[in-house]
Amino acid sequence: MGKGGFGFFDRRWFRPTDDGAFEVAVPPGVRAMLGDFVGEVSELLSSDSENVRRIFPTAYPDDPDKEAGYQALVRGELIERHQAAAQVVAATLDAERVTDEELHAWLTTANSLRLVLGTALDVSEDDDVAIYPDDPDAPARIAYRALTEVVAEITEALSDAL
Amino acid sequence: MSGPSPLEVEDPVSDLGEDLEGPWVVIVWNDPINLMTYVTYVLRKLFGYSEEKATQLMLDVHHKGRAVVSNGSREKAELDVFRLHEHGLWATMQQD
Repeated sequence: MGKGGFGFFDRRWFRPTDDGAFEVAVPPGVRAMLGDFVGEVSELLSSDSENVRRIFPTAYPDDPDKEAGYQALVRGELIERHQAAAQVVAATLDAERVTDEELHAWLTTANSLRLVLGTALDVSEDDDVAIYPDDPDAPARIAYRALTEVVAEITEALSDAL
Repeated sequence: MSGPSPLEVEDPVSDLGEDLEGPWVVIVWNDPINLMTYVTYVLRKLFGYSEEKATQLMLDVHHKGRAVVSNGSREKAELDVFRLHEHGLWATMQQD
């Protein structure tokens, strides 16, 4: 896996350009991992796995009738938006330059995947997500760490550009 | 500056049915997964809050477990909740 970043002292994976876009220097291994995940987004969104519950939160926890109405109204729209964002990521996976809208799609997709993975791993606050070689969850924990880095890096780049 | 005479006061809310229920508040709850910087960014992006205000709301979520991030009619609150859900934040709404 390459180091990523723009130069020896610059580890950043996303850097704003003068014309409002972003240069991308994400390591190839991280791009490949994102590509694998993005290919699974449609299947994930349509699954009834408990691990996707964070993707479809409850709006009215104390009102089952209103909650049913809300879910009927938005669930399909939420799925469509997540799928559209995942398609943007797939189409720009190897890009060296993305627009701010494309980077926002990267962010929401990486964050959604991180929510699903974190739920599956039952991550708790202040969890250092220690990785032990003989842990069967080790690959998932490594992926979770990589997604944390992606989300943090994109958040920093987009926040600087706000 | 003078106030309106009582006879001229109209209540535009009274014709709007559902709004008679009163204002709704949108609450973001603490969760163990979303990054603090990400939550701050989403609040700035969606609501146009300053970095200072968004950071304070994020810290309230983190330390107090929840924070009211917006309010308004039921329709507005529902749209805000939807946009927060689209961004993976744990948001709910309730009448104030």
